[in-house]
Amino acid sequence: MSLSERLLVARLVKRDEEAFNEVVRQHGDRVFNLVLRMVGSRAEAEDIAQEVFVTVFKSIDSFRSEAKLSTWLLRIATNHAKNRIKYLARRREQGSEPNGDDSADLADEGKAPAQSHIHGPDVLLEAAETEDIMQQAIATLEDDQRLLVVLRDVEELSYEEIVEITGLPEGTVKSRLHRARMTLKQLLETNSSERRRFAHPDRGLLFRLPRR
Amino acid sequence: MPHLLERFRRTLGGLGSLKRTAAPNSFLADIQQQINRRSRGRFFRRRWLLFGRIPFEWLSLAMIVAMLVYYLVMLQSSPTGVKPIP
Repeated sequence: MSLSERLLVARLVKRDEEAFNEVVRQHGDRVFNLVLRMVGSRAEAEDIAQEVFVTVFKSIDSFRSEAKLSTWLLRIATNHAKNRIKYLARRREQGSEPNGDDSADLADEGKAPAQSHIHGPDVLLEAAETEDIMQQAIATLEDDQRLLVVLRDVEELSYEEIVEITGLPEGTVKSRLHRARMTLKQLLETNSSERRRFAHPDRGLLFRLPRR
Repeated sequence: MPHLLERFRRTLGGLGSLKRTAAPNSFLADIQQQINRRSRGRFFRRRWLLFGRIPFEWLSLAMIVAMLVYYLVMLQSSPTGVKPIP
């Protein structure tokens, strides 16, 4: 951990509000994205991401200085996201919530990708479709596999960081990640050949979301 | 095996390009509000600020000091003197 991070943590332990604001500004987007990719719903992700930082504020005393602050944050985010996924799955089973297509929430995210320069509408549409397809594919993975794909392939964390966040041995991380990628590859290749065969203008949901 | 890995990487290359979505604009404020509520006002108290910078407590104190100074000056400069009511 760097000196500046140690000083920041020392201030956090004293419940320095400005230090906490700094942490939220530095890590807020990353935490939000991780949770968003895990749960697939913006509304849920906002709720969970807020909870993550409230937990950070309350539990900073339990932070071990051997770890990096960012990985500790992401670990908390991961646990919160997993708990929420289980909770939502139980609610659906009990019939109190429709088995919704949560990926539709995220589909809206794909309609206006961040642009550093102006693209034509066809390029934007293709980018949005790709975003939809990728997110739908991720959503079909088992929770543990989805987490690893998001951490490694979306957030581009190192294996060391992923081991710290998940608590899994490196070998297990790699083998589960490999299986997740195989599954994604099959899904994406199937999707790609379906789209070529039918060339249908509608972006239907080509992946069946698992009933949890 | 390396060529298979390369195929995986190409097929899944899109994952890394998934758009990073920014947290909502009110994200920090919402978190502060939550902590304030759960700590029963102990943290992230709402501060009233003049021009967004000067706390109103300081302004009140400054006004009290100014009034006191004005009173003392008037007391000194008055020809008949301002005498306290017995």
